[in-house]
Amino acid sequence: MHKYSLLLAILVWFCIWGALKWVNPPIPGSVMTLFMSIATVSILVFIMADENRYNSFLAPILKLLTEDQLFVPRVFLLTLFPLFMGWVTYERIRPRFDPPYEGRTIHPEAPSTFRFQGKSFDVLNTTNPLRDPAELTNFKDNLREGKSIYFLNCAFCHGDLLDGNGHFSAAFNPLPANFRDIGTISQLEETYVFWRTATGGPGLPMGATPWNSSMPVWQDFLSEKEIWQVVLYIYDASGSTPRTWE
Amino acid sequence: MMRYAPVFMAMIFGLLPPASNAAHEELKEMGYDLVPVEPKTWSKEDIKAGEALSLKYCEQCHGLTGDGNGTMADRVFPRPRDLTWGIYKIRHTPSGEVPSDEDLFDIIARGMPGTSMPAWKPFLKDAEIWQLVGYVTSLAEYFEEYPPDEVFVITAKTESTPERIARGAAVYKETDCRKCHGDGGRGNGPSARELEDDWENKILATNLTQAWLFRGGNRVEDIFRTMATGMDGTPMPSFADSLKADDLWDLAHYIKSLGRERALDVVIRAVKVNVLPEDPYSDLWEQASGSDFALAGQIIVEPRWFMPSNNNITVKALFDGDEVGILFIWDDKFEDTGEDGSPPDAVAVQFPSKPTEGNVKPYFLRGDRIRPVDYWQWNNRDKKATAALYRGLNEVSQKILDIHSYGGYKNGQYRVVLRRSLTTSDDTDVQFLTGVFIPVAFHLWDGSNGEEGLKMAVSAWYYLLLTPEPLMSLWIWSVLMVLLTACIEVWGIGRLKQAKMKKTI
Repeated sequence: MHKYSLLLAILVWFCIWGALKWVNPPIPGSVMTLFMSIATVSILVFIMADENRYNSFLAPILKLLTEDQLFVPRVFLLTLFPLFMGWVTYERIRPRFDPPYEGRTIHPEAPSTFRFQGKSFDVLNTTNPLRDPAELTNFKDNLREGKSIYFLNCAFCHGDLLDGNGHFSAAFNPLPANFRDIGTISQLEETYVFWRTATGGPGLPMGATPWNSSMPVWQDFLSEKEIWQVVLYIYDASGSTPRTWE
Repeated sequence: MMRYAPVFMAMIFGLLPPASNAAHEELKEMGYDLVPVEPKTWSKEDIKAGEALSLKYCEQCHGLTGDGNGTMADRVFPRPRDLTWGIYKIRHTPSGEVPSDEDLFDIIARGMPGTSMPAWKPFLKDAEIWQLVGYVTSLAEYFEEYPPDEVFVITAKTESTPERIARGAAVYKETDCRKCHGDGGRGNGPSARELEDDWENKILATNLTQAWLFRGGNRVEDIFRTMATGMDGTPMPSFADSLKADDLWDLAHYIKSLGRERALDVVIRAVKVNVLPEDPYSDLWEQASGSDFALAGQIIVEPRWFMPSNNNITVKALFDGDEVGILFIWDDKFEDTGEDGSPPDAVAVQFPSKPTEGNVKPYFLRGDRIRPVDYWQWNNRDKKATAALYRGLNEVSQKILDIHSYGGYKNGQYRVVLRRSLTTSDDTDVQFLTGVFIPVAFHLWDGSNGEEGLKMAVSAWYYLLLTPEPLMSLWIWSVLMVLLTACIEVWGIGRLKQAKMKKTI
């Protein structure tokens, strides 16, 4: 058994490496390096613990490095290794040019009030008036109006399926919001969505920078009621429910 | 024209001669066949369920009655299909016939690239799509009166070879495809301006180089099918009778070879050259790698523009010791010089006029008060480019120094190079330093589509990078590492050999 120490050591090392690579989700690179260092040290300690094993581990290496008959493979190995080290060095210090990371706050905190068509709009204490019990008789009409507004204005980017995949969406970065994603409007109150719709990209607070949102300022185009109607529609049509404080 | 007469007649009467058995064998050898189909029958409930689905998902474009006059219809190009006529472009049935049920299913499931018709497949279940098919067939009498009895099936696909492509190019010429699709396939032929569909709506010939927009798919068998069955309702005829199948395959392979997929990117990587070329068709420009950027209509502020001609711009960049050159490539079916009453075609590019801090960019439409943009605009009337400082959409101050420009319109495509020195002394000018990601955005106008001012195609912010040349030190360190490792090796082996000698003595 001792005869194959080197071979076994290499085999065990690769088995461990393969097993760790196979794990899903993938292990981060730095953790991988740590694990493999421990594995290497452990294998070496195990080999050194027994003198016979240690000698038979070293024997093939020494043979390759000193025996006259193995001149060709030796030269091959000895040329390849420095070139490999040179390549590693090159890769490590080569300057990389990746575009700046465009981190952003997806749902920045809403202000308590904002200017809406010349008057102050109270974000904290307003709810969608179209959900008032008195308005519920007009619910269907409001939805129909909302749908019409959506398709005259929003569907170009947010799409027929409300999935952010309209025929203009590829041109914008960040991509238009997908209303069917549980991370978008289902996480938000209707008043928040009203604020984002009314003030658009330019209305994002400083804390949310870098903002590159191409969302138009809809209070320049739509009345208060129309924005509430379209908000009602996107919740209804995407099967989402607005977040509430209760 | 006479040689198409039978095809046109067949289109008009919706009758292609039924293929006899012998003819079937012949067709099969040529790679396709007509096989009988049995149209599906739909229960009243299916059709009702389909109508309900249509009112939920389709009515915004195709209208409450399927007449193609929905809410969105006036704001999309091409217009939504009028479903009451039973005329469809993408079919496996002979020209002039209604599509098969499977054709309708496929279109709903897959969508139509280059139009506002999305793919419904992952969202709607197959059963729901079939109900929609049932509803659609109930909208036009033709489906009941003249149900399709045969569909076109490809039995053997041919492989693309340089010979086939070369023969296909000859067929393209002989068949006069260029009349609409143009010599280079960019949809800019001499008749391209006057095209109308059966509803007398203006339509355009397909740009065969932009394969991502092929309505019926861009695989070679899709192209073959489109040419064999034609695009009903449009001036695109069926060539099933006028061309032999082999010629049709050659043509399909040629058209496939014209088309390219687009490579959307977020960075234009400029590389350094000895001297910037002036000619936009020079080899240096050909070899430079280009990035595609998607464009959308400017629908952010009035006047909003819902139907821009251009959905794509390709940008390349090079620099030498003094100047940077940016090459803009975009397809345009009709050249507008601004002389025939329509505005001139134009392109513009913007950069933040000051280096960005913490990745905060100016507003993407011509900047804002705090962060203005350096704006270069070229138009095909003056054939020169001006520079301006914008602090918002309409707040502009022109700069005195122009930007050098080269190139123009050729064969359905613009190639315009804008050139400026890498650095200037004006602190409102963008400064091009190597290794810095400079934000960049594009605007495009197609005059014959009525585009001018804010009626334009726009992009979001992307980046331009002047890639620095590799540093000498990078090579020095790598070579040093090789030498160092080699030395250690030689020394180590020497030691080992010495030890071995001692042992043997």
